[in-house]
Amino acid sequence: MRLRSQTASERAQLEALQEFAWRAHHQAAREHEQASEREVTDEGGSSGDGWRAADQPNTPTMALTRQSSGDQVPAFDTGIPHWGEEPVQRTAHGSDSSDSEVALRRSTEAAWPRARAASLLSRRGPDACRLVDYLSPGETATGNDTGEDTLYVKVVDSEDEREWTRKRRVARELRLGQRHHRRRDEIPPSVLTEGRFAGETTPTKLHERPLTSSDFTIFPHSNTPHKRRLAGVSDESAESWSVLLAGTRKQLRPRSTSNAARRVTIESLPGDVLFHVFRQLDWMPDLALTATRVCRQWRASALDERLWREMDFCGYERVPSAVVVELSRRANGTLRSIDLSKCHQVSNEAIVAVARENAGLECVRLSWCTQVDDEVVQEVARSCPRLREIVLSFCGNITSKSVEALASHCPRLTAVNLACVGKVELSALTKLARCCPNIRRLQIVNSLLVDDAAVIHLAKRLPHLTHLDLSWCYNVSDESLFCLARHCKHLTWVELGDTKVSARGIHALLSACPRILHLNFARCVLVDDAAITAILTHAAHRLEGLNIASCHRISDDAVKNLLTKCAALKTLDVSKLPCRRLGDALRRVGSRVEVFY
Amino acid sequence: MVRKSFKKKAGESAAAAASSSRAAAGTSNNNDDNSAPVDVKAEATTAPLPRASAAPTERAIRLRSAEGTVFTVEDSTARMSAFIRNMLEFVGDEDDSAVPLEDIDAKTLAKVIEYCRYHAQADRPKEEKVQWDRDFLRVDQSLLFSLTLAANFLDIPDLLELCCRHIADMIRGKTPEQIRAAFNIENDFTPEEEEQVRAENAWAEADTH
Repeated sequence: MRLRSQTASERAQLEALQEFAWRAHHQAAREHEQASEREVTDEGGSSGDGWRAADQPNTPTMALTRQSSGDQVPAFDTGIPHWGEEPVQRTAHGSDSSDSEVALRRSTEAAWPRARAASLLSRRGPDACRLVDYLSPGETATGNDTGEDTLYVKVVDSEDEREWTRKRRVARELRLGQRHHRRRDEIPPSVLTEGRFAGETTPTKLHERPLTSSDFTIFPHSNTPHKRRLAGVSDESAESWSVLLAGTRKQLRPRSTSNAARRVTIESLPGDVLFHVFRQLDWMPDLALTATRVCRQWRASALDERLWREMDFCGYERVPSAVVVELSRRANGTLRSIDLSKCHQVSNEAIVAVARENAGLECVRLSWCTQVDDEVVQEVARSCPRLREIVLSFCGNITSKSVEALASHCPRLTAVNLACVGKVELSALTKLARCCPNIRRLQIVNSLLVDDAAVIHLAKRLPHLTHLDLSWCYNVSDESLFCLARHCKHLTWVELGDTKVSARGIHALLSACPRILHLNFARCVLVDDAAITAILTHAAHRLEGLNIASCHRISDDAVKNLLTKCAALKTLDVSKLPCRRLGDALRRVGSRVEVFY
Repeated sequence: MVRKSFKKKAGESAAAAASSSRAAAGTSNNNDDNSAPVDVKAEATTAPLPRASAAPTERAIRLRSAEGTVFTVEDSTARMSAFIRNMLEFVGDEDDSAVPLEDIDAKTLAKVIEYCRYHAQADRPKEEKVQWDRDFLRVDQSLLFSLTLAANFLDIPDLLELCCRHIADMIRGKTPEQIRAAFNIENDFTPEEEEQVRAENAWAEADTH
């Protein structure tokens, strides 16, 4: 049966369609050339390009329109005259093999052109016609509401054209895969899960397999298309239609919201994403000096106070006071850490101003700031009760007053660096130890006032010590080590260069402190081979760094033993030792140990 | 008025449903003014879509990109995204509809899925992951930024950090002019602002020269 249940207007439209198809047939060859050219450009563009019929004036598209006159609508999949040479006979059982497996469904009355097109497409195979776009009533390309359904169908009729269309479509559907994978069988399952053919569990090489209409379905798209289709619910709310081609649903979106080729630039990143980017940058110079100067959006994001909480001017020795104060204000009072090492030009007033404005400061590093004096440290200690780390190394003007102020105002201190500061009395150190029991890192370098009594006092009060540096404290001897061994079990890093310690003290320390990783006995003239034996006995498997430079009593054999038996050793300083015959041992350890000699 | 027409499938339960469908088609035929006989293929079936025959054993989550491309991914992969995780918990198990991700195009979504699928498997050595991440980000700027946006939207912290670190590496060590050139950013400061910004950083420039 060829014709059933058609109104006069529908017949007229179908005739128009037929005529159009003939025209398209004659245009096919010409269009094929043009399309091939487009194909080339398309591959580089976005995947949305191929669907814009109106953008390509040479593409033969037809508009199926239907006046909203409220015709009674026939069943959509009834026989529609085939526009080719031979009409297709259809029976109640759907003997037409190409049609029999095509799932078509019409749920709204207004949707009939779509269903009609689906039927046409199914009859001629998915590659003969291609649904290009659909505009529902109320959305038109020009903005004029004509009250019509408009369906754009691309017609291709020649065999070459079909082949081309099929390849192109498959290519488009697999473009995601092709971008990142050289071979089709490397396409991630994410693409092929949807791209598999009906009834097949393994991906097929799509370009080698002829498509059949069973690969092709059109159905109204809704939030739950499965359920609606299975339940046969009227799909009044369907906003768009989906085409299931080769198992891949291609939703045809209305023109207005079509996602055309969209190039995402860094300017489309919102502020919070830019913040994540800037957080990865070094504060100086990339964030502070560069990101703030690129454009307004960047400046706004870069001035986020969270990015200004840790300011490190290390390496920018000529930074003026005004800049330090101004930059610190960008943290809006939430500055947590400031490193002004070697910034000689920063005035004491600026440091005090920063400390006063940022009561939450936890880390202040003023190494080599020779201008800093007791008043500054006292003011910092008073202003910043949360201080955890203070570095005052090589600040020659610092005396006991600073240390006492820190002790009385900053109970949370965990790291204190007093290397090479001025004269710090024993009473100040004992006060510090009494008030700040959480100190883990303590550096008191080059102080003649620190003797065994002082170290014993500190050791008793500071049980959590992990890092201790008493280099150049000439009055420290084995007694200190005995006491440290008794009280400071967490020590990992001990520097005792230029002290009077000997093998006895080292043995006691190593046997009692199981976590020691780094030891420094440089220039300790009393240290001899017995110390090395103690190391090999107690710390051979864990010691990572050892400095025994200028310990003239240590023999070559001891050093060789060290190199061969300390498996974890990474650095060894044996400079200025008389030993010069380490060749074999050095060769054996290779690059595992960095040896200075 | 609702009509049904289903494609013929090898469905065992088709017969019973077919009769009801025919009945429906019959009534609709009466309403047509055209008296031509109607040939209705009314083979109702409850068989799922062809696509579903290849369903994975794990629960599959379907994600719909901006273009409408639907990706079916494993549950564990989809749950790398806090956004989808929350959404699935909110929606529950019954709803099998695709999660609409209107802001993410298919190309980006495929890439995100590629990342999630790789990193959903925990038992990989760290070096291999680092190398994989490095290869993963060998993409053009546009895709990198849309990936970043997608990671932000989908709330995948690892991917967001990876992308941001990559962008930061691209920024690091460049002057503002080089950055503008590299990312094609327009300098939208007014001359006054420009002067102010320049004065702000004058000390550092004096330092470097």
